[in-house]
Amino acid sequence: MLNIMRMELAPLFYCLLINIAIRWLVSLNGYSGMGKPPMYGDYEAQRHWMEITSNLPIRSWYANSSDNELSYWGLDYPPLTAYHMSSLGRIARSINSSWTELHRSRGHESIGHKLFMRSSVMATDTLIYIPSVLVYYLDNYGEVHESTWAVALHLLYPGLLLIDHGHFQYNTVSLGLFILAVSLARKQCNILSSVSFVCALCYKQMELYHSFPFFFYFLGRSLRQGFSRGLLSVVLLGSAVSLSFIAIFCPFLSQLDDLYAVVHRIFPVARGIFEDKVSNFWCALDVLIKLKTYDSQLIFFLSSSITFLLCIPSCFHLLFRPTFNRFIISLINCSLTFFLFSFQVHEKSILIPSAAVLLSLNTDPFFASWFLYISTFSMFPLLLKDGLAIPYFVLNTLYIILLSYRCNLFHISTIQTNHFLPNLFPDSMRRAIFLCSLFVANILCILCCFVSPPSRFPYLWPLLISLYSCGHFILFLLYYSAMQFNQQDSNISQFRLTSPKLIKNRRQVAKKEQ
Amino acid sequence: MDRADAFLFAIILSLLKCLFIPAYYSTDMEVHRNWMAITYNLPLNQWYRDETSQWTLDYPPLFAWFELFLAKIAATIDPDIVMLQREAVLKFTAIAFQRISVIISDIIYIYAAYQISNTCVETSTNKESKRSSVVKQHTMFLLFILNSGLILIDHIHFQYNGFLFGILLISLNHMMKNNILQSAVWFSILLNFKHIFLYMAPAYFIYILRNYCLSNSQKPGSSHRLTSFIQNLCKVGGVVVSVFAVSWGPFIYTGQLYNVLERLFPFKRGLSHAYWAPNFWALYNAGDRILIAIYKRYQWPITLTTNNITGSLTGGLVQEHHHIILPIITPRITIFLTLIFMLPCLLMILRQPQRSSKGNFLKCVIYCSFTAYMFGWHVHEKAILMVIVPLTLFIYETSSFHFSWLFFMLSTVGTYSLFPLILTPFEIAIKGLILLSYSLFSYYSLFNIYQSTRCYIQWFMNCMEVIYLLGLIPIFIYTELLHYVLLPSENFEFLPLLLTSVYCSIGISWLWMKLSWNCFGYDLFIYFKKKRV
Repeated sequence: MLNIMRMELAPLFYCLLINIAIRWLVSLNGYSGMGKPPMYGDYEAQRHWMEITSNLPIRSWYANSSDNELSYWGLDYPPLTAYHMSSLGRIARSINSSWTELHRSRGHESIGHKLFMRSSVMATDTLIYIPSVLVYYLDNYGEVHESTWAVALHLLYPGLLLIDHGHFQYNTVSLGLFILAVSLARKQCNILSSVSFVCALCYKQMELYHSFPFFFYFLGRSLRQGFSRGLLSVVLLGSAVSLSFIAIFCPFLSQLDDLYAVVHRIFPVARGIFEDKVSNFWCALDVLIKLKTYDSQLIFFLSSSITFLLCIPSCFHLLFRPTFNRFIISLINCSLTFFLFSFQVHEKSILIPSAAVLLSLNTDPFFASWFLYISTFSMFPLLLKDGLAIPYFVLNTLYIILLSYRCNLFHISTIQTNHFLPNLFPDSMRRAIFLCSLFVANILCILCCFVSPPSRFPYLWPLLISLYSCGHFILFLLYYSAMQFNQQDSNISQFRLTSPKLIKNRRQVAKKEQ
Repeated sequence: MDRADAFLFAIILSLLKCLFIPAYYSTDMEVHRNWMAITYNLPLNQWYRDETSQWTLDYPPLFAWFELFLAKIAATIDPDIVMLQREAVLKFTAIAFQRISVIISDIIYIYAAYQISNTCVETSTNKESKRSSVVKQHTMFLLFILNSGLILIDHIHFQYNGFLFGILLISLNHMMKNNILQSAVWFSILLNFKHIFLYMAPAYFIYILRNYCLSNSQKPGSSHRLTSFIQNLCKVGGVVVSVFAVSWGPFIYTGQLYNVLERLFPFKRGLSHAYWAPNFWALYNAGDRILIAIYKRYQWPITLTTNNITGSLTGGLVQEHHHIILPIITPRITIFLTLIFMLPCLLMILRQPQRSSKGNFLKCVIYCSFTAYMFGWHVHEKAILMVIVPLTLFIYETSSFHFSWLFFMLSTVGTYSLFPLILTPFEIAIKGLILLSYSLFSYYSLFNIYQSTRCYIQWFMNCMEVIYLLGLIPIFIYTELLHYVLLPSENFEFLPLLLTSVYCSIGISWLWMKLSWNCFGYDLFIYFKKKRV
């Protein structure tokens, strides 16, 4: 016991405890669609999937039938989600059979059930997400003290916390697998990494946002190994990926109709270009041109081709210069492009670019913090609807305070990794812009909470919020693209989340050199 | 410690406390809301007479004024909050307003903790030790403001303890700086907010008597001992009496003195709560239960000393229950016992001027409140905080690490003993996590400080205590989870409470004995040994 407690890991353990406690505190709040019949919300959707998957045979999960009306929260995630829901549904049935009874359990709400659902999210979080984050950071740094801070800041990201433990979803599974894939990729375990990524993709199809950089990164690394070894590793990777796909889709492969039903449910072309108010390009364009009047096939084709075209430069750059840092930046660029321009985007999908940005928190804290703040802000109307306004304000403010304390956001030029930006903006101006941006965001939130909009525009505040954050995201995309193309290959050292003292030391060293 | 650091900690902590707004709250939420309604709607002469709701005003007058102040603000936000009515008002605005008022009033506590941790750990000029003293200040400050018991009681269960402890710390801080008069003023203000702090009053009284009234060393050439005694007594007395006059005057004037006193000291209630506060009487009750079981087993005749047997046999869940085999306890016995046990410590301060240092005063304050907790009549389990919070000051008493170990033990066991207050399923995990992280934090930080002094070898001499602490984990798992699976019948409803109470009271009684040994027992031992020789 003495030795365990003396180890440097104690603060890390302590930080994990605090993180879990904060997650529980958030989960005290309401969830999506609480007490709102007939459709309820995401909480009921997950519960309904447990009901369907634990009662019906696998092949009828995605097919419309009298037992499985697809119009009422039909399953629209890939099979891994369904398996997960199925096992949770079985556990739920063993605790209380009325929670997942076919048909009769619709809209079931009780305190015991809420406890069960919240604990299941907590379990996936602690078993998948937190370990992956630990894996990513603990082998990265020599000092445990530094990585403790990094882990704490990564885990405290309010967006994911509020959506999973407040609004109710299981994003931690796919994002945890994604982070695991990235850290395996850094360790050069390419095959394991690709399997892990396929699992993430088969949990939520939105992980497609990250898929291009993975593909081109592995391809680029293989190409560098010479012809025969490269070919071998490409073949190995390809077979690993296809085998894991086959393993996951196995129950649906016997008949083509089943597979078609799954694919049709996962990629719903008919559902329109975006839902509610999303802070992406199409929603902004919708203010000028009513997109819903156009043929959805046409829009689908248009949006997809724009997305692919915009991804190409970043991907090819990665293909020819596959360094790990560029891989991270490319992940940000592609996922952000997908979020801004692709078809059928939800406001919660911003979590996917955010997951990539979180990985760059240690290399470029200033813009990462800014992005993370705005990303949580862009979901504010959704959170407000679920009664999560107080946790939103608390956590987002706490997060930006911790970041600015730890990373010294306001004195960045000394540790800037990219050299093109300081010429554009002086330090003080950047600080002013940053603070203004946060200030306006908070004003919009307060308006959204307390001021009723003019009766002609009932959705004025959510629209303004999404436009405001959309503008930010487009600028962030420009910034990160510029960063990718300006980054020098030699500059691959990872900067740690830097404490004020370290910065002071660095400054003194720089002065002496002068 | 920097002001900026303290400010940052305060902001982060206050933000985190806001997350507790939707958490479970006890009836105390409605109690305090009703007090706001009483003070806002009724004239002064009705405050202690009103019985519209069952939650009548039973705190001293200054707290009533404080509630009036809150009510004035609340009325501007939502007039429904201060509605005087029989039924509870459980609106979200009422709850959020009260929760936020606790968080804001806690700033006093944070400020006082900042002050006192700066006083306690002096910053030295030596560069090497300066760094370690800053670490010590930070640790003490954090141990104060993160106190898990206070968070459970104030922010989940709901009460306004934070700022009251803040006032206590301000008073102690003045005492440590030798500003005895200011300290007396702050302490009498505190007494007028919540009379439970009377537990500590003997220590204050004796110390002020000894070090202020009876000390003639201040002016070496002063003429008369008696005149200086009377002068100083008048000063202190005047100050204290004037505080009480301001607070109680209006109520005596409106003829409510008797009502106030009746509300403040409800001796009609029983010896123990439904949940036995883990003190000496919990063991006493449990002993009675065990004796009954033995008598029944061997079919010995039980002589009934009371006409009310029904309550006692159902397991102590009724509020008033009577002992059957052991003698019945009356309020007088408890007061007598409390004073008897306080006496040696008080006499020590009084008789031996060289011992009446500030450190000894603090020890005496802690000992007095601990003794009152152990033997008092109708003690609340929350009163353990009155021992834990001042004990935080001793974590750096390098001469005897016993105190820091005592703090670690008592903060863990004492906070655990508060667990039955919070009983909803979501909060079970939260209370466990809060206690676990606080205990680990205190353990870790104390360890960090002491690893250089090599005291930890002696620390772990107390293996039994560590095993005892680890025993809390199975108790927690059983009482919160397994019990409802294994013994769901209503006959065993009392078992988790009984188990928690008895287990904690064993530990707390042991810690009380240890504290008495460290406060005066050892010195008495030496004294008698010398005499014999």
